Amino acid sequence: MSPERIAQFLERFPRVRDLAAEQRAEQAREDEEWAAKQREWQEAVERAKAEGKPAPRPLKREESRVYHYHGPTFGVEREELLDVCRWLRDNPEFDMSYLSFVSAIDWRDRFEVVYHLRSPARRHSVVLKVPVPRDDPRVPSVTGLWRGAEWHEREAYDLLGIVFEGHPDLRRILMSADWKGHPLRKDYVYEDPQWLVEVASQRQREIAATGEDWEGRGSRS
Amino acid sequence: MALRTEELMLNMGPQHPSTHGVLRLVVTLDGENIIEVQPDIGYLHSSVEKMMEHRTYFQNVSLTDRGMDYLIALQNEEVYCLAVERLAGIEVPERARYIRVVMNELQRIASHLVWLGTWGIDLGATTVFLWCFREREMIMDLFEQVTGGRLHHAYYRIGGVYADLPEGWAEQCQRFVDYFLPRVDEYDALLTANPIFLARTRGVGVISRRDAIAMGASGPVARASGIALDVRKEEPYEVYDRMQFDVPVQSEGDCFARYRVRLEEMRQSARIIRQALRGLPPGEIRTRVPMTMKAPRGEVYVRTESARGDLGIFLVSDGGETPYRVKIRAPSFSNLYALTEMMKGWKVADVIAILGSIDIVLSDVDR
Repeated sequence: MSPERIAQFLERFPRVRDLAAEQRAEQAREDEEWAAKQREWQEAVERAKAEGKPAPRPLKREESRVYHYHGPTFGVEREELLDVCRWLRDNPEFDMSYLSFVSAIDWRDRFEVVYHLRSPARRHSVVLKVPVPRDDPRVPSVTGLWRGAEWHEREAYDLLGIVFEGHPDLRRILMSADWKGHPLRKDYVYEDPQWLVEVASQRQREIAATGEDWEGRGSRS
Repeated sequence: MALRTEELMLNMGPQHPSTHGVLRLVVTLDGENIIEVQPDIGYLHSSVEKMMEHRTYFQNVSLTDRGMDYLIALQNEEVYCLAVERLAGIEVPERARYIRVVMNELQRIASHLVWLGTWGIDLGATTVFLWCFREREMIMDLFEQVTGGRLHHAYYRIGGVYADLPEGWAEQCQRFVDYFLPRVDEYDALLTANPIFLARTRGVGVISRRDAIAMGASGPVARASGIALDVRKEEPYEVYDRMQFDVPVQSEGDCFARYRVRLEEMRQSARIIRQALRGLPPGEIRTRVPMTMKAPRGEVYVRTESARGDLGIFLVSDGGETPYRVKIRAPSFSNLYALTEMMKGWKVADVIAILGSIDIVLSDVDR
């Protein structure tokens, strides 16, 4: 997306955060801090040289903590999500008629629901990220805007437990209907599904009752 | 006296030869007419996205072969490696990029051949199956010489490819392309004018351009509905921007149009292979990347054009040795959703023809 379009978008929705711009600013701040440290070190080296002392240890830049975005990425509040999406879809300047996917990231303290929108005609794309609290993972459904979101939202509900309000048929899609928990959450612990446990204990009771060996191979002596 | 009628629910699958894997279709019928089709998926769900979170960036390459679409293993490796490379800022040597293009396109031809052959069988044409698998076997042999595997290759590496092409392979591949192009004309002659084939495919399972976009269809399914989109042209990766090829587009949106698009794609892939082999530069095939690499904190979404459509990976890194979150945007998943629209109003006998025409692979749908 061109900078002019991004500016136009941000002007229309002032509450939307431009995450890529925030990343650039953060990177610049980190670079500046590093440059200041280097200058300080250089001065220390020169002082030590003048005083005839051993030079201080060379500096090692620590790993960057900046979170990188590749491409235009925006943080949207969930109250505003539907308005933003409708505007991006219907505004001919943006024309985001194609929804690539809906998914979510579990950041342990919060979820981030991710939307990737694309415009086949204008050939640009955008990522929208909606932070939602862990104890209340609800977002409005975008199935009214893009029909294709239906299965993607069901998948995000199934695997991460995000509740899409207004979805016509929100139920599990990949896991079986009686599955407990949401597997892609970071705190998910695998447990054998309940029906499997029941089948196995029923079988064990039968074996105990008949004295039959496991797999039915003759009686237990 | 009016006859009493009632709706009939028909379960197709999950174990049915024509569903090309474990897929269950719940078909609601009014006599012979389809009112609604609800695909029930998840039988092949392996949670590869979760598995990737527990393996290092290098180990995940071989996981993409198995956990994602098993018919286009190399294209899965391609999209995964591209994502990691873009996230970590790794440059891939020129030669490796050309080799990848050759391999991707061979894989596309192989995948389309499986599709055409099995769809032919679905529609009662056995010959085309035998012919397609004859040519596919040659591609498998070509793969085996380079990668050592036929289906699961684990050939791409982050930063390049695992091994260089064996001596004489490029000439052999060139000979295969020369042999293959007339064969495509033969499939064309065998099917395109065949009245039975036409009766079962032309005008059947139509999806409009508007619906195809709204439902997220991509790849040959979208292109058969008049959407001239191809990631290789739109956002060229590797060296596709240096290749000359056309994107076949049809406007009818029926099964026949999808067949025409894929047939033409095979010709175009052969054309790309020829150019890539001619332009193959000498040099390194792999950038040195430490086995225990760490990607910087951040996220990236990479799209590629796989044999089935818009295959993407959304990769999130928290700076550790394993990906923090991997989201695989599977083209078959969205294309299968579009099936619910295509099927409406057709006869129960068309279910097989329409389902076959969208070319789904269930391990891609379920991941």
